[in-house]
Amino acid sequence: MIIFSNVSKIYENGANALDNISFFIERGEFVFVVGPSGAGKSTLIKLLMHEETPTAGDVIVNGVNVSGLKQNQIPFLRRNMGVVFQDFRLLPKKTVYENVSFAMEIVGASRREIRRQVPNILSMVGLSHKAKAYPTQLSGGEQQRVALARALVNNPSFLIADEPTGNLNPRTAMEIMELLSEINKRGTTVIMATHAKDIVDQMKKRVIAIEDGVIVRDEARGVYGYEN
Amino acid sequence: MKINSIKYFSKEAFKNVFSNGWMSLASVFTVVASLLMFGIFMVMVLNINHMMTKVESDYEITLTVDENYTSAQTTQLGRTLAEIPNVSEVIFESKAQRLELLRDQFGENASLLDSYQGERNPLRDWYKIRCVDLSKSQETVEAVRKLDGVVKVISNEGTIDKLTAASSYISRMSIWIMIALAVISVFIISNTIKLAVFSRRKEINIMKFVGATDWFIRWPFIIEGMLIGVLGAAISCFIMSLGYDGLIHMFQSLQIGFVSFISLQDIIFLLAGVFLLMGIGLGAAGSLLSVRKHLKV
Repeated sequence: MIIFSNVSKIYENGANALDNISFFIERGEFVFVVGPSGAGKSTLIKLLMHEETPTAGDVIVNGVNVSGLKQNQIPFLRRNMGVVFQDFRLLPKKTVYENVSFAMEIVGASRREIRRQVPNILSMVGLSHKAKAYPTQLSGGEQQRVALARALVNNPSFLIADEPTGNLNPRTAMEIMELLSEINKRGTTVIMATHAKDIVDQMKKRVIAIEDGVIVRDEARGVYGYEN
Repeated sequence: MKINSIKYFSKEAFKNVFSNGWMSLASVFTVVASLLMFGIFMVMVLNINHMMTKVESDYEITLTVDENYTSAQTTQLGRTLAEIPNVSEVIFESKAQRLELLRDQFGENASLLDSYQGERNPLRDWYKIRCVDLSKSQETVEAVRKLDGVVKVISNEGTIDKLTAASSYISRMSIWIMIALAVISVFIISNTIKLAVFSRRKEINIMKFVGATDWFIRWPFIIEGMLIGVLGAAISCFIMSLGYDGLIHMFQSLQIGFVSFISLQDIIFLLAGVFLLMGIGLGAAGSLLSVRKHLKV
């Protein structure tokens, strides 16, 4: 469960990215965060990840107040959440398998656990046959699947996706969305920031719309609501 | 630290040393250069100290006894000398003994000294004394001068003073230079490793958001730095021992009187140990310094 309670974020340059926003996301939800560029979507994600800390208010993740975390506790917060980005962020010198197993090595998993878990997760995202390929040999959609596999391999309770379909063509994007939906059905909370109107409208999930740092709309089975 | 993690760190470190081949080589040679400089100063200081102790242990004050003194009086003088503070050793040489020594030195021409035998011996008895603390030799010389029956005091404490002053000056200078060298090398190495870190900032960033702890990210770089340090230390040690051996042989062939060197065998373990520690330390410090800024995510 994620709670934002009266959260404001003012950057050092004076930009008021979020202005006193409150909402909560329950376990197992699928939530879109939408809004025009610069509305505060990225800031919201960064606050969740503790890349930034709120200027005012509290961000509570699984009962822990993230704002008060010490530097050395942040990694353990992040192990609760998998992240995927618009630009995939895979390591080009590692194979698909290594890109995924890397995430397990980081948390100190044993070789046996890694050998059991990585093939499972690769088959879930449908990339078992590409395990030995390098990221450059993959299509955009496949790269994003690898990123998803890496994000999920440690069984996080949340999946945070920042414009995950931004670099993909509509058909591939829909495939990724199906995968996200599938992941959500298995119990992982999914929070996705996006510009993609078609996707939001089609998925009929909860939509939190942000504009100028304020939540303007929070609908249970919402639509994108903006004309691109 | 988990065993799995240690395996991972070492694997990563080894991989990185090789995959950043040229960069690693550059770092190794930076380490070699700094260690060699450091080693030269260290060897210099050690040798100066070695020579000083030798000069000091050879140092003696010679005092000639009044020729009119009876043997009983001379013996008494010897006892008085031994009671002077700072005197560690009193050696007596009678005029007969000294003549014998002189004859030895004359060798074939010893017969020239035949007319000086027995009563006609023009030499005087003398005492040689050694000091506990050389820096107080001046006072000792003064004390000896004041004694009755002492005709002449020969000491070269002026030279000793100058040597002591020079050697302590050189030692102090060298220590500062060594510290400066160590600091400079840390920065050079950290710069080299910084490039390696920079080329992997993406990887570090990914590690951060997957939930790697700062130390987890640091360790491979630190081990990488240490490996570079160990390699550099080995090479420096090799070069240094060859160079030192050559230098000793050169100096010895010149045959300069009081110059004596520590032998390579006596110095090599110290040198190797210091190099190894410094190499590891420099490498680790350089790595820590260069990773630091990339961890703030």
